[in-house]
Amino acid sequence: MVDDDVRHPVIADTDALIAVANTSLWPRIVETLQLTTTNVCYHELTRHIRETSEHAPAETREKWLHDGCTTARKSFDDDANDSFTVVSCVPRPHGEDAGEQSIQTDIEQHPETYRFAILMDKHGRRSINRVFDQADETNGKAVAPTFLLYLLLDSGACTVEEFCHACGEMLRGEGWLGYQAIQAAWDAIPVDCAQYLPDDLLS
Amino acid sequence: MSTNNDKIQFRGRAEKEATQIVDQLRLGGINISELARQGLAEKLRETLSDEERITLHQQYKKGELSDDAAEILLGDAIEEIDREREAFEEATELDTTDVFQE
Repeated sequence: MVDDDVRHPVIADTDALIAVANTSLWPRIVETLQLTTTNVCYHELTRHIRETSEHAPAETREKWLHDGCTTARKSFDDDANDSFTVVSCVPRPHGEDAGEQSIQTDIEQHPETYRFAILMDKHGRRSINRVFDQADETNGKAVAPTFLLYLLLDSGACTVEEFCHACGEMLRGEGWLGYQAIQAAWDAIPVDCAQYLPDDLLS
Repeated sequence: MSTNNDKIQFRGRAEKEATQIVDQLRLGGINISELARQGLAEKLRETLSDEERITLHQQYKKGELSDDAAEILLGDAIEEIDREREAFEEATELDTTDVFQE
């Protein structure tokens, strides 16, 4: 694990990393973006890998967790990639929402460094947006993981078709939560993925 | 305004008895219709699978589902999608210096 305390403007939590690392655009994210997470989220990835089986049946939540965590952690472990960093969060939060909490704590301590907080959980996003709103002289926003895919699309690092396919992959793995994030992204960009995805979106 | 067509009827001997007991227990009774409406809405939402929720939201977007039915079935999801859209739009306006690798 690289713990070099380099904080990039984009910070992502465990669930956001899992959601995006399971899409076929993850390698593109790894070679295009600069991304930070916390040691707490890194340990959550590790714990999920330990507690799930790589042989879990396809299309189960367990398999989704295992594969996503393994793929995401590998990118942070890669010493050759200094664009992916893990920063230490002090004090270290504990409990079920420790990962999300650690993101919030690090933003509170370094509000000027971060501009985009990527979280899967809407409550987590809401409380981080309050932190951003209260911080002076800084502009930041907490958004859903679809934003990482958007950054690729906006910079020309992927096509609309690739973006839509990745949304479809995220949708199948993240269900209703993922769907809401994807709908919001499609409305905001705006982009029409209808021609690239099946009508019922989940097949 | 309620009309006779709004009526939902179902059989439930034990439920009726239990309802009457609570109704008699409370001074002024209980609003059975209101409780039933709330309970039914809650249970309907709970029984939906992710796939069904997605199908229903797609129908809502196409105008095939009324606002009232959508609110019962999808809860705050419509509002949530709207809120996230706004946050997303604001995020797209922010400076992306150092977001991308050199």
